[in-house]
Amino acid sequence: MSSENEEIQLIEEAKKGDLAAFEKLILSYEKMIYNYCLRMTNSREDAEDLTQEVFIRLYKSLKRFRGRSKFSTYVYRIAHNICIDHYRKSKVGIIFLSQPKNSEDDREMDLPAGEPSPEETALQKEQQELLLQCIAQLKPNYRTIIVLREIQERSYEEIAEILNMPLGTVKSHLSRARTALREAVRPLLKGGDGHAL
Amino acid sequence: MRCDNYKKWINDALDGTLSEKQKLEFEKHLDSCSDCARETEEGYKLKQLLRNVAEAELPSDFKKKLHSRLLLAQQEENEGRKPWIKWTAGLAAVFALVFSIYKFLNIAGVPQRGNEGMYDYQIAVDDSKQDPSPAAGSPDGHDENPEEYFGEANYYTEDAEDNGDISIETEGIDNGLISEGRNAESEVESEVKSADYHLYILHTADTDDIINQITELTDIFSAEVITKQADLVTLKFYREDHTELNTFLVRLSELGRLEPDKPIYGADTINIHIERIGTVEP
Repeated sequence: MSSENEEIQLIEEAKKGDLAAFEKLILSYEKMIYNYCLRMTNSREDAEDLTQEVFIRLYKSLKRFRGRSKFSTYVYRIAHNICIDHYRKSKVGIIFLSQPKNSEDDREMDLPAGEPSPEETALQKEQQELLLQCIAQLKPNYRTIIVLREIQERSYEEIAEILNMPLGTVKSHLSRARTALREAVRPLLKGGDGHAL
Repeated sequence: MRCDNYKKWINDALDGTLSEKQKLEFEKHLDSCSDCARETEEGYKLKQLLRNVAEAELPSDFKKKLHSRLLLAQQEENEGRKPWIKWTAGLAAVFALVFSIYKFLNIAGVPQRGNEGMYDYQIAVDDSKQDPSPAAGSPDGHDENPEEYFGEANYYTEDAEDNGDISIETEGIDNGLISEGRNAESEVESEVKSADYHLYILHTADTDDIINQITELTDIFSAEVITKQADLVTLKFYREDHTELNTFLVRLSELGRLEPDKPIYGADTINIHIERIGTVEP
């Protein structure tokens, strides 16, 4: 039996309330959704709670899934809604990274406090941390598109379906999200000698 | 071609979707335009950085916790499937209400009109429960429980402030970063504050599949379609989660022009009337 057929069968069994089938069904999605929530919130604790919430809601709503979209798309759509709900409730409006201070001054910005480690691995870890913080400061829709497209490598079509948005809008959002993120992480990109990347 | 037009190609270059001809033309432009060359190079570096973000492992007790919560959800589901529980609870509530009204009338010294009068009153209560809209029943639909009404209103205000922080639907300021508290006040002021209105009109030209689209949208919220007609969908939300209703309406407004376009809280059941525009009558 192909994995697709197996998934369809598991969905049908799970719809009838078979918990074991449901848990088997979500096996390959748990890590993916956890990582999505983690990149959306930049908090392991929140990501864990939200991921749990995603699968509880999925379990409750599964009987209404009619297979019109891919199952992964359906799961992502729930995850996206839950992350947006979380964002609204938590009032994460504090700007960690300020706007570029002076656009004429080559758009430099402050890095988080702390001495950079002399070791390269520590530096890379720090850079990645900064990158993730910058992602978390993007507007939610931009953040979703960056995470789905650039980190989780989903197709434009699937992103359009997850966000219920026309394909053209996804592309223009991605373009703007890339520009916003590029501005925010410019110190990393300017690292020179290919060192920073 | 102007430089601005080449800038639009940067994204396509990053996605590798430029045609061979476009690629050659773009590379030629990059040789002569340091600005575009820098942006493109930074774009590639950023793309690489993002590709290198390590995948995190699930927390060690994730599955165990989820399993417990799923068992609980399953139990709730099973209990919810027993219709007699709902009926019994509903019946008990009606009896309790009738009894308390009877007691109240006795205590307040209202002259008894006998069984017939009591029956009239009961009918009136039932009517207001069936249709809490202002058009029928009590004037504001919340006479039965004023405390609940004000509780809703308070919640609403907080929630509306939350919405002020959201910039996802706003295309105006587009630096991509979150603007703290932007438009919070104006949005709070502009939102409808009635807590009992629950009819939305969706103006849409897309007539064929709109009901299905709404149903599909409902699936990803903790809501259920109660009735479905050619131009009317009735939904019931399971939880008193106002932000969820808000998110739902945002998604709904992507299907057409929603009226009112702001959330109105206080009812777990909402009706969506489909108003078809731009269609030619046969």
